[in-house]
Amino acid sequence: MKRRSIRRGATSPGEPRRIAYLYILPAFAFYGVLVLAPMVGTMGLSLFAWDGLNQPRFVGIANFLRLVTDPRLSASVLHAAVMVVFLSLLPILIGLVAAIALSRTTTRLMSTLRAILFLPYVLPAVVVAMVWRWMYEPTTGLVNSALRAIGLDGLARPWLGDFDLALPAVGLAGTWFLYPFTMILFLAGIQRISRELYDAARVDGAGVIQESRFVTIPGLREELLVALVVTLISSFRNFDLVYNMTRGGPGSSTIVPALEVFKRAFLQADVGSAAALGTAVFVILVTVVSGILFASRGAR
Amino acid sequence: MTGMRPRGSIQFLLGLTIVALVATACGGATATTSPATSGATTASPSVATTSAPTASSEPVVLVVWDSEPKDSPIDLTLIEANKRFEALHPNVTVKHVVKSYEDLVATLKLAISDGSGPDIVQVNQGWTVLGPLVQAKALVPLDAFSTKYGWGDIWSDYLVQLNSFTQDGKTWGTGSLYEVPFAASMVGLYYNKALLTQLGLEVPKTRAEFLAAVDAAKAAGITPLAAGDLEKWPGAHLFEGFNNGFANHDDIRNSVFSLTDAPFNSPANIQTADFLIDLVKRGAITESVIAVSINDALADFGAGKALFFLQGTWFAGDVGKKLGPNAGFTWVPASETEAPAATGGAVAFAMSAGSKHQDVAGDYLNFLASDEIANVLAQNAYLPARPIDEGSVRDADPFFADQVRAYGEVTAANGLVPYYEFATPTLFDVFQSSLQELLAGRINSTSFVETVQADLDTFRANR
Repeated sequence: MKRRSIRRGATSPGEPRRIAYLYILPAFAFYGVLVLAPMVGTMGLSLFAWDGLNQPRFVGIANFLRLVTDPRLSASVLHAAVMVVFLSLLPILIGLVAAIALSRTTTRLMSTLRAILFLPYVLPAVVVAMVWRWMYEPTTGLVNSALRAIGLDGLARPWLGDFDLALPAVGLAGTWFLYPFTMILFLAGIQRISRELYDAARVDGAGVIQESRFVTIPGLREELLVALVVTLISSFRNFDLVYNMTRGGPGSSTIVPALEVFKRAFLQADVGSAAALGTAVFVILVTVVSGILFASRGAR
Repeated sequence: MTGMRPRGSIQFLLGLTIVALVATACGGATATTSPATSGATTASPSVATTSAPTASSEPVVLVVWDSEPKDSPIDLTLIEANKRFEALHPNVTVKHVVKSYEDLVATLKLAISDGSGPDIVQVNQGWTVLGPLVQAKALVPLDAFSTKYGWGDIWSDYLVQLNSFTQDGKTWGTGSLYEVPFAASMVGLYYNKALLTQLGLEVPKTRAEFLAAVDAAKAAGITPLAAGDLEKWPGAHLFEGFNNGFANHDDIRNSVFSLTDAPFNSPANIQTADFLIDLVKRGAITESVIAVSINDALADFGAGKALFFLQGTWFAGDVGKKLGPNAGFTWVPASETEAPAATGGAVAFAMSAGSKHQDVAGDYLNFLASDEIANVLAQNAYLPARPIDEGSVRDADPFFADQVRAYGEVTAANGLVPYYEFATPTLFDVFQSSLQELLAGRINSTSFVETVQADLDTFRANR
């Protein structure tokens, strides 16, 4: 009796732990059915040759070997790596600069500017793709018209039809779409940083650059980490922009993993290779993200 | 209130979870079908393949699955056809279920094996869907029905080929008929009548006349041929449109169906590729074509800025709306001696092996194949797979009559051929991507045909 009451007193107050698991059960059930089960299923499928209808045939790691031997598959992964620059690094850089600039402007102007700058993120990706497709249109598009208006006719080109520039062109549309997310994240973070640090920096005679370097950026460590992980994942998952802007063209210069997965699974009746590509991208992402998290913990 | 709240929301959440679990379990069963369960159960056709059953008069619910958008010409025609079929067969109720195509394909196999599937289903021809379904014995071969109803030659030989597979699902373009062709598509040449008159030209009947019209338009500052290939698929039809004037039509059919070793890297296909490059160099087609959306090209043509537009009849509705009485359509001009030809396909319906009323289902397919329903489809301004009399629509809709005539002439000349994209499950991708490289001048005609040939070789070797 006595022991029991002591033990009870030693646990946290409130309902016993077992009840707590009941609380997370609904969420976990959702997660299990909607995320974990299909994920394991996909990994299983990556070992089979399957047309989506008939008996699947076990092929071992053959689908994964194709990732290396099939130039289209390896190209899609390579393009995703390029996309990291446009969908992760650039949005973080632009978002950081915008957040620092906004946090230094007067309050009323700031909320208006913030709303305007945040606008792209509110649009559905399909709309963003359509808008940028019009902007890149060779004859009447805004980009070429603007270049011609300022006498840079030589730079005007069919952007989305250019084998070397189509990928960066699609990427820039993604940068425009994603920087508001990082900007808002950083703005919230800046508001959390103690005013006293800024006051102290100013007393010491720090300018914008030094203030950002020694106060703002170190204070945004957590936010930077979140921004990096989230945008990194989204740059590997990018589908809407490419599908609606170029369908992977011209040639295969803008194919990305998500587009290849879709094409193979639903248009080419090659579910196994789609699953293998999906699994490979998952493994790459998990490795990179845990690498980042590990490094950041070590640095703390 | 605050005391009640947690319990209330827990119950709500639990309820929601149960609903969600049930819902996802149903969806999950189809979407995340594990390899083990999906292929294991194979529905076997209960129909005798030698004689088609005859309809009785007990009450029957006939389930029809298709994926045509609501209020589209095909959808409207099916609704009307169902109404008329029910009037002819008072004991039959037709249950028309519209699904997205991906959903239709994903759920079909399981629905057939558990008996909840459709009797009649729209299936895309080719290696990715029809072939695997035939191989899984999920569809009823229709030969006996064809004999019973005398379908013999109401469609072109090519459309029968397109909808035929050997019963093992290994060879396409021969064997048993598995689908009844219903609505047709063909690639052809749209022209602007007002611009032709303005330039003092007739509708071109030969390639030489076409090229003369191109030069005349160019000289007058009009875009000769509006084209866009940003979406990758439209360019394929540009190639196919002109290819029919260079290549032997039997060769195209044999090559796409892999019935012979007929190659893609043929001299005729190199000629076609060179012809396209020449058109680009002449300034005959929209500049930077691979960076222009097909919708922008269509808009240009619809606004009267271009003389020609070469695409499938699926754009006819849009063209007619924009150009009104100035819209015209014909088959793509070829050489003087060449008979009219066109690349085309058909929306077609198959009978599920799970159907418990194959007699009624057969009657229904026969009704869809009838001249009566072909004319309903025509009234909705969509080409029926079985050619109809052009005169019946000429007065009401001259532009649609152009399409009916072109399709009729091509069919009569046995000039319908399949889309190259059909040839292998992956060929569309390779073909369309290399074509963009060809149009951009990154590769020459020889390496274009060789790239496509390599895909064809891989497919034929592993088949």
